[in-house]
Amino acid sequence: MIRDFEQWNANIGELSELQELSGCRVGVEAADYLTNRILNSPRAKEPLVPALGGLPLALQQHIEEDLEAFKREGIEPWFVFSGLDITKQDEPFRQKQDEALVNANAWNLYDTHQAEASVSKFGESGEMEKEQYSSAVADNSQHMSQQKTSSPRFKPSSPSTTFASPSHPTAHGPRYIQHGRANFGRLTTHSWHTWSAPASARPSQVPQTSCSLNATRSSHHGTLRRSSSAGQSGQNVSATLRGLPITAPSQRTFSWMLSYSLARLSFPHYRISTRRIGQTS
Amino acid sequence: MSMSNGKSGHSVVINNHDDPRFKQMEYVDRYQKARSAVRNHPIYTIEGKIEPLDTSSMPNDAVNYLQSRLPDEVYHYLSAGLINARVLQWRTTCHIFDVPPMDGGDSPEYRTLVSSKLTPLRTSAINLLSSSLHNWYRHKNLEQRCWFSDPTAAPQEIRVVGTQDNLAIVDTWNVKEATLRDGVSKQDGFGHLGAAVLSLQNADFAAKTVSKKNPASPLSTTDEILYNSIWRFLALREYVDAKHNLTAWGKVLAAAISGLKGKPELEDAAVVAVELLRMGTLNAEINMFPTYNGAPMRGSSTSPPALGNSMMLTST
Repeated sequence: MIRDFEQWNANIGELSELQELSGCRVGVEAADYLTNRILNSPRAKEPLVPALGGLPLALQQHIEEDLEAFKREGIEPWFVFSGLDITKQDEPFRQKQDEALVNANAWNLYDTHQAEASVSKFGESGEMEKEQYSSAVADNSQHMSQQKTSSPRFKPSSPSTTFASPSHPTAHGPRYIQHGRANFGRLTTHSWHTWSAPASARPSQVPQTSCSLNATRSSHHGTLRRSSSAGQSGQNVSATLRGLPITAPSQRTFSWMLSYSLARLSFPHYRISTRRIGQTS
Repeated sequence: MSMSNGKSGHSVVINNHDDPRFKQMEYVDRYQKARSAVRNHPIYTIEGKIEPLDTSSMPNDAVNYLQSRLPDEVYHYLSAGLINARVLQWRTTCHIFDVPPMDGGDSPEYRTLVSSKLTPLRTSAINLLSSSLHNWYRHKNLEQRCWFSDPTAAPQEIRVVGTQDNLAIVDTWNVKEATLRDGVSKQDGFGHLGAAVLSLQNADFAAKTVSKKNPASPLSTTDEILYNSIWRFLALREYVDAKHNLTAWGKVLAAAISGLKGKPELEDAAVVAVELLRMGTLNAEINMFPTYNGAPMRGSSTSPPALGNSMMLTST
C-alpha cells in the first residue's frame, strides 16, 4: 500500500475504456484492492465486521464476482501482496489503538440504544488488518484456479507486474480479472517484480544492464502502447484496477498511470507496461 | 510540500531541512534511503534471479537501505505465498510489535497470552526459520514490544535457542508418497490436517513414517510436502513423540478431529481450540474481557451452559 498514492495520482490519472485492456495482463496491488474495493467500498462494506470479528460475510462472493468480470473482459489479473517492510514503522501501535477507541465508542452508542449511530461508528473503525484478509483473497483465488492449472501460482519465469492505482473510489460493473487462471504472486519489497518499457522507449541514462533485460522482454512480449512518442501523456502504461467509475456504459473507465509522470519524478524504473497475452510464451 | 522549492524531490527536501519537523523525524536521511531503495530495488527477473536494479550505481553500503540479502529460496517462497511475511519480518528486523486487538487490549488474559503464552510457539517458528538463514540470525535474539509495554523499559527478549533441537525433530519426517498413501488414504471424509493426525493412530503406520532425508530422492510431490509439513508441525508442537506416536495431547487432538468427519473446514479450528486448551485460555471464564462491551459478561458461567460456551468461543 503506497501512502498518499491516491491523492498523488488524482490529477494525473487518465480514464479510458476497461475493454482496452482486453487481452492484457494487469497488476493489482492486493492491499489497495482490499481496502478500497472490498472493505471500504459502498458495494461491499460491512460496518459490523469490527464488532463481530472474522472475515466479511460476503468477501468470497465479491472477489469471485470481480474475478469473473475480469475473465469476461479477457484480462489476466496478477495480485501483488505486500512483503517485507523496508523501513521501520514510526508508531506501530498508534493505528490499532485509534481503531480500538472507535470500537469502544461504538459499543457505548449501542448500549444507549442508538443502534444506527452505533453501526455507523463501527464502520469508521478504520482500515482492517489487511494481512488477515490477504490470505483469504489468495486462498480464494487459488480455489478458483485449481481446476484450470497445475502450474505454480507464481512463475518467476513469467513477467509479472506491479501495482494498481486507486483514484476513483466509486465503482460498479466489471473491474477485476481472471484470465485462464488467477496468478497471485506475493511480491516483496526485496523481490519486486517490475516491468520496464522497451529499450527504445527508455531514457538514455538507463544503464546497459536494464536495457539488455528489457530487450529480452520485448522480444518475447508485445507491448501495449498508447502513443508512440516518448514523454507524452499516455505513452505506455500500467494499469490499474480499482476505481472504475461507472455511471453509464459509455463512461466505463479505468485509470491509467502515466509513465511520463513517473519519469518527471525521476523514477524511470517504475515504468510499467501492459503486455498482450498470447504473445507470452 | 510545494514543488516550487526545487525541480526534484531531493531539492525540495534539502531546501526544507532546517524545518524542525523535518529534523525531528530525520526526514532527509529517510528520504535519501527511500529514494535509494527505489533506485536499487531488488527485482525478480524473468530469468528467475533476484538482483538489484541499476547495480552500476549501487554503493557498497546499500545494505543500509535494502537490508541484508536473504537466500533466494526464501524470496521465492515469499513470492509464491508459501510463507508469510510476518514471521520473516520479525526475524529480519529482530523486532516484534504486538498491536492491540479490536477491543483495545485491556484484558489481562489476552495480555498474558500475547506476551508470554505464545512465546514458545513463536520461538519454534523463529528458530526453524533462523536455521535456514545466515549464521548471524541463529544467534541474534529478538526484541518484543507490546501495546501495553512501558516505552521506557527494556523490551522483552525472545531468545533464539535450540535451533538444532528443532532440526532434529523435523529431520525424521521425510515420508514418501508410496508410504503416506497407506495411512492417509484410509481417512475418508477428512481434510489433509485430519488425515495426517488420524493416520498416526495406527502404530504400524507411525513406525513406518520415521525416515531420514534422502538427498537422492527429496520430497517432491505436493502431497509429500504438504503431509510432511503438517507432521513436522505436529511434532514441533509435541502432538507426536520421537517415535511418531501420538502423545496425550495428540490423542486429544485426534479425538476432536475424529468428530469432524465430513467437515474438513473445521479442522484448523480444532487445532486452535486444542492449543488454547493447552494454554488454559479456553475455559468457562466469562469475565475474560471485563472492559469490552461486546464480551459475554451479561451471561453467567453457570447458566445456560450451551450459550455460555458458544459465547466464550466467540470472544476467545
